[in-house]
Amino acid sequence: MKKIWEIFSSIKTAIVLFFLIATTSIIGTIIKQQPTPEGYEKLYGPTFTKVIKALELYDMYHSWWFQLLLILFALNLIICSIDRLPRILRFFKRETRIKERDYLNSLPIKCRHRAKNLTPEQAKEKVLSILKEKGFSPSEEEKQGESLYLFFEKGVINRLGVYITHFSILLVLIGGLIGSIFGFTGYITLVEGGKSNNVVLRGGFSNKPLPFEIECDKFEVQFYKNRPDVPKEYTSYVKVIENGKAVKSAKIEVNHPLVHRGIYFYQSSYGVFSSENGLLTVKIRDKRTGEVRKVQLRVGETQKVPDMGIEVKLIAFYPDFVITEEGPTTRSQELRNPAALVEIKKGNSTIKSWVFAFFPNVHEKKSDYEVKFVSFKPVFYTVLQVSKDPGVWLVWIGCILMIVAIMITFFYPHRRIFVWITPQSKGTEIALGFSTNRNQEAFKRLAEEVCEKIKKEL
Amino acid sequence: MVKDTVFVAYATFTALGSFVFYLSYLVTKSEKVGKIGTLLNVATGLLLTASMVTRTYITIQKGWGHAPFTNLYESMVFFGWSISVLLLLFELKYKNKTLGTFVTPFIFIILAYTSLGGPGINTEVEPLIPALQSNWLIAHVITAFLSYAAFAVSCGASIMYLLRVNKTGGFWDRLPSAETLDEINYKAVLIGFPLLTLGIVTGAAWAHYAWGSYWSWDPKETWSLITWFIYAAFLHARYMRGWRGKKAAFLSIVGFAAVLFTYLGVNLIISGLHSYA
Ligand code: HEM
Repeated sequence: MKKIWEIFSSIKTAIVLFFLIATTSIIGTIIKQQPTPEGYEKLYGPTFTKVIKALELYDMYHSWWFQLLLILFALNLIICSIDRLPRILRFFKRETRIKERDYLNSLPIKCRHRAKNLTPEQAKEKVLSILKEKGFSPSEEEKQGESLYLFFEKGVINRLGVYITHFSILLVLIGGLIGSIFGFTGYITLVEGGKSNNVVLRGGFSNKPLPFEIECDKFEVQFYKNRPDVPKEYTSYVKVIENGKAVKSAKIEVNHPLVHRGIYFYQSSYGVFSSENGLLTVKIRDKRTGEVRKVQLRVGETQKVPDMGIEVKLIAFYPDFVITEEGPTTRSQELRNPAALVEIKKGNSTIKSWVFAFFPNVHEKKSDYEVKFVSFKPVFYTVLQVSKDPGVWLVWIGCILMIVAIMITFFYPHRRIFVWITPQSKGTEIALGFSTNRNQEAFKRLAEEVCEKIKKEL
Repeated sequence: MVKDTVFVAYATFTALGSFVFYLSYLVTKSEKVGKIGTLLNVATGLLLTASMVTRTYITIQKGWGHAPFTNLYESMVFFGWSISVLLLLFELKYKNKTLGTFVTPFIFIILAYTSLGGPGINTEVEPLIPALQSNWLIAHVITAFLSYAAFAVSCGASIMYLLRVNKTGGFWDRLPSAETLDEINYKAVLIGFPLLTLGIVTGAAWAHYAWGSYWSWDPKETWSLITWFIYAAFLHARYMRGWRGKKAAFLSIVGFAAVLFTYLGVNLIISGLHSYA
C-alpha cells in the first residue's frame, strides 16, 4: 500500500504517464477513428485488424486501456497533491512567518547596515517607507528580545498555484466524463415547413425523442455579393414548440447555435429536398401598358394580381427541362435548365406560357403578358446537430482556472522579506533577509536596490 | 494598390540579412555588425506588420473586413512576425545578440516557404466561410502562434546550448554561457506554455460554437495535446534535479518538432477539421 502511494505521489510517474499518453495518442491520428471496426480488413489486412480489434484502436481514445491511462493520470495527480499539500499549507500559518534572527544566515540574499544616528523607531519608519515604495507592507511585527522583527510578503498564493492548476485539470477530466456519460450528440433533419423532435444519434443506430419539437420555417444560404461562389452564411429560421405552442423563435447560424433547455442546436449541413416544389419568382409585364409585377408561386398555387386584374397559376416546374416522346419532363433534380409552365387568367380567357430561366426571350406570342424568370428557390432541408453536454460548464471553469493558476504559478512568485531592527550602543542595526521560490535573479536585483537605498538614506 | 505579398517578399530578404549579420557578429564580435542584425530583424517585423495591415485593409475594401488569420499563408506571416518580435524582446532582456543567429533561420525558412508559395500556400484574399467567422478563432490563432514563436526561441536556445556546453575559450566564449542559454530555454517555455494552454482552450471554445463539440480528438487537436504534454513533461522534469541542461534542451527540441508537426505535418500528411492551419 505504501509502495503504491509512493509510486503515485512521484513526479517520475507523472513524466512516464505524460510520455505514455503523448506517444499512444499518435496512434489515433494515424489509424482511422470510427465507432466500430467495419471495413478495416481491406485497409490494414487480417492480422493487423485483429490487433486493432483487440486494442480497440478503431476508437482508441475511448478504449479501455486509454481510459485506464487517464484514470492513472488522475490518480497520480490527486495522490501527488494530497502528499504535498500539508507542506504547502505551512506557508499560510503564522508560525512560518515568524523567524528568529539566526534564520538570516540561511538566506541566500541578505544585507546588514548600521545607522549611526537613528533610533530603532526612526529606522523602522524609514524601512517601512522604502519597502512600501516597492509594494511591500508588513504583515507581522514582533518584539524579539531587544530586536524588533518585521515580516513582509507578496504572492503567497503562488504556493497554491500548482495545486489549483492540478485541481483544474481534474475539473476538466470530470467535466469530460460527465459529458460522455450523461450527454449525447445527434442530428435532426428538418424540411422547410416541417417539424420534428426526433434526434438520430451519432452512429445512426438509435433515436432519441426530445421533449419538445423544432420547426423549420425557412432555410437560407447567403453568398458574398462580389464572390457568388463563396457562402457567407447558412441560416435556419426555427421555432421551438412545446405542447403544441411556439415558445421561442430563433435564427441558427454557423457559430451561433440555439440553446434550449441545455440542448444545443448547431447549423450542420443542408440539401435540396425538392426542386419541383420550391418557390418560383417571375416578373409579369403587361405588353400594352408596360406595367411590371413580381409574383411568387408554388406548383398548383394561384396568385391574384388585383391591379392587373389577372390570376396567375404555376402548373408545373421542371428543374432540368427536356422534351421526350411522352412530353415535357425533367432529367434530374438539379437546376440545370429550369422551366415553368404558367397560366394567366383574365376574366374568362386563360392562356399558358412557358418560362425558361436560361432562355429569357422565349415567350408566348399570343399572350398580352410577357413572363420572365427571376429566381427559383427549391425546398431545402436543414440538418442541425443536436448536443447536450451537462459537463461542459465544468470544463470551461476548469480551463479558466487552469490559465489563471498557471499565470500565478509562473509570474507571481512568493516573495518574503524578513527584517530585524536592533538597537546598538551607537545607533541601530538593520538586517534584511530576502527569500523567493521563483526567479531568484529578479528578486536579487530588487533586494540590491533596497539595500543600496537603506545604506544611503539611513 | 500595393499588394501585401510584396512586403512579405522584402521581409524574406531582411530575415536572411539579419541572419547573415547576426552570424558575422558571432565571428567578428563587432558591435556595429550586431546592431545591423538587430535593425534588419526589426525591419522584418515592421514589413510583416505592414503586410498584415495592408491585407486587412484589402478585405475591408472588398467589403468583408476580417483579421488576417484565416489561412495557411496568413498564419505563416503571423508566425514569422511573432518570432521576430519575441526574438527582439529576448535580445533586449538578455542584452545578448547571439541568440539571433539561431532564431532568425526559423523566420527566414518560414518566410521563404511563404513567399515562394510552398505546398498549401494561397496568397489570394478570400472571404470567410461561415465556420471561420468567429472571434474565438482570432484569439485561437493569436495565442497559438505566439506560443509557437516562444517555443521557436526555446528551440533555438537549446540548439545553442547543445553546441556550447562543455566548451570554453576563443569562439565559444562569444556565445552566452551555457547557464544563460538553459535559462533562456526555460524562460521561453514559461511564456509558451500558458499561451499554448490558452490556444488550446480558445480552440476548444471555437470548436464548441462552430462544430458542436469542444473536443473531438481530431488529429490537429490530438497533436496539440501531445505538444502540450511534452512541455508539461519539460516543466515537471525541470522541477526534479538533473533534468536541466542537456536533457531540457533535448526535450525542447522534441517539443518544437511536435509544434511544427501540429502546425504543418498534420495538414500535409493527415487531414482533419482544420482545413487550413
Ligand atoms: C497535464 C497535466 C499537468 C499540468 C498541465 C501540470 C502543470 C504543472 C505546472 C504548471 C507546474 C509548475 C511547474 C513549475 O513550477 O515550473 C507543476 C508542478 C508540479 N506538478 Fe504538475 N501538472 C500536470 C500533471 C501533474 C501530475 C500528473 C503530477 C503528479 C505527480 C504533477 C505533479 C506536480 C508537482 C509535484 C509539481 C511541483 C510542485 C511544487 O512546486 O511543489 N503534475 N505542474
